[in-house]
Amino acid sequence: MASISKAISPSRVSTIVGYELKRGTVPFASPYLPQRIVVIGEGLTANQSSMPLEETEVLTAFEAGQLYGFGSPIHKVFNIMKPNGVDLLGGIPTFVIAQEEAAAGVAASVVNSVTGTATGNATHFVYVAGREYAFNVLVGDTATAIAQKISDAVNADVNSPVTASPAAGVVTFTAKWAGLTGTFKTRFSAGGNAVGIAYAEDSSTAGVGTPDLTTLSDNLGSEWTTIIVNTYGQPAFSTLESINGRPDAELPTGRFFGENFRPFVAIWGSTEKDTTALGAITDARKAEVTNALAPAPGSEGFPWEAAANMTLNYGRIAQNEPHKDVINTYYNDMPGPADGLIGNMKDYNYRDALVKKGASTVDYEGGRYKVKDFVTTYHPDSETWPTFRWVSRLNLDFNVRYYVMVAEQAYLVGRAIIGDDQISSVDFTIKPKDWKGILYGVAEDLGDLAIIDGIDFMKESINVEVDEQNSDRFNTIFSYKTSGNARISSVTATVYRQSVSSNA
Amino acid sequence: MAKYFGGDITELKVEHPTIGSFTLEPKANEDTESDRGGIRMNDDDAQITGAGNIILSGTRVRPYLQVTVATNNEITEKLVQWAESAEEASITYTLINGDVIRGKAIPVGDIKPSTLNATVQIKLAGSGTFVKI
Repeated sequence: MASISKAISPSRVSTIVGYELKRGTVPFASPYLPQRIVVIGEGLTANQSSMPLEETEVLTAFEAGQLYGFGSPIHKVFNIMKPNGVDLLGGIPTFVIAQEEAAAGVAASVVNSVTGTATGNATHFVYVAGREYAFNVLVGDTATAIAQKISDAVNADVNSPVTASPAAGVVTFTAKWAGLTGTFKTRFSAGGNAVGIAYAEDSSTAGVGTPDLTTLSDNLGSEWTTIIVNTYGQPAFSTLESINGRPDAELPTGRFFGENFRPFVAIWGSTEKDTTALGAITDARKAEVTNALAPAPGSEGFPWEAAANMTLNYGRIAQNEPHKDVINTYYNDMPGPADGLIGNMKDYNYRDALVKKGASTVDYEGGRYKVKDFVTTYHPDSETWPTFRWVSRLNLDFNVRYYVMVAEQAYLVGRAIIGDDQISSVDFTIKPKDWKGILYGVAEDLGDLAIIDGIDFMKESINVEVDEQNSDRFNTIFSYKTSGNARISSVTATVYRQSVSSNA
Repeated sequence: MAKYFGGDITELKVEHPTIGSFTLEPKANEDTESDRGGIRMNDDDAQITGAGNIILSGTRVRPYLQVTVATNNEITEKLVQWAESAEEASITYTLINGDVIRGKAIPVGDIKPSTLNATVQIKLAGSGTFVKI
């Protein structure tokens, strides 16, 4: 009979004591695929030399502000996902890979003029990237004095993405970092009480420049990152698609490649109201599964704020209830349109057309954006029902892989392979029939969690073998169908009205 | 192979989520009793309409395997632990004809080993159905 302890080899004779520490049995009941979020974005100009460029875990918005600058895209993204010290993501590990500003980057700016002298007292408002700042106008205030008050109100907010500079009847807002992502809008409101003061936008300069993303692939850690918050939008598409690859049947690439299967979804935001323009962007990437739009049509906020909001909604579901979808969830913290109008996306026909072109959609209700469809750009002409359209179903695919991976680690990898008919008294062995039985259990568990639809379908497809050429290798194939979400309800009702006739 | 080929269960493997993996060795030349589980129709000759249409009444039955296995104190304790865990394990048993049946189960009823024969008859019952894999 074998020794019950192997801390010292049974062949040893000379005096010695030994001790070994073993890991206990791994419970088979697996959790869902743990989500891992990486935010890519810029820090403030003032933080360029001090901020870390390697992947860095960030726990709070305050920490993001300290590292990358208060008001930076990274800080603002964390402010949405983890506001006021509250982690709305529920503990999902969140990392940052910051990029240095583009070499020839230009900071966005907006110049506003103030005219008139106040004839009374009033509270006026300035909206910078959709965020409200109030200032008090007092009777007799000159335009220059008011410009100073506006600047003071904005500059007093350390979290503001801009600095304000007053001059004679003019206030200039300048983004705190140089780059395309800093482009912002301003708006003034007298709250129905102008008291002789008028505000006008004199000029605006869009931010210029997107950082070099060539090192992103190297900086992305070896762990399975499941969500990337892309604050750059379109300029980062190609890089992200190149890293993530495609789940091609013949030649999967990037993170869909078999030896390195750990794909992600990259969420970008847009405030574009023109559905034709949005559809054109996603329609051009119909073979790709990487980028998923978080729309906020007409919003005065930054586009990447929409990405942070969608990440919050999707991330929580992906982590805790992946059988659900983000359908009808609301953005938690996204400035809306000044006029409350989101354009054609309000219309179902346009939303339907957008989804068919690989663009996500929202509606706007009660002053909040309400998610209707969250999709990747994937929609090849050859597929009537694109396999990798819905982001939530991609996450189910990832969960199936994760579940099988856990089973592989617990019951397969490293075990001695023996034939089905062989009886062995030692542990740490695996037979083809054992592995098949374990995969049957995987199918049942995935079905129980509503990750797959059709337990028997998956079971019947499971086929395992020890490789004929390589006795150290197990081959496994199976098929499955992920569970869908009820997006459309089509009901036909027929009503009959009895004619009321008098037969008196 | 003959079309109808019965006989021993050669191996009964258990993968429990917390207790771990272990193998039970069923005794040779012992009959076993099992039910694959699923839906059964109640047998009642009166369940028919006057017009001659059968009235079906289906009920679910749980799958089980009643088998005599060789045991010692360690195995008996594992069986007791398994029962006390109130958690089903994945079981796979192999018939002498090579068929492998799989399901989820937990010991139900008595666990009374015979110290003379070093065997114990156990009944493993579970959720869903037992299926040939």
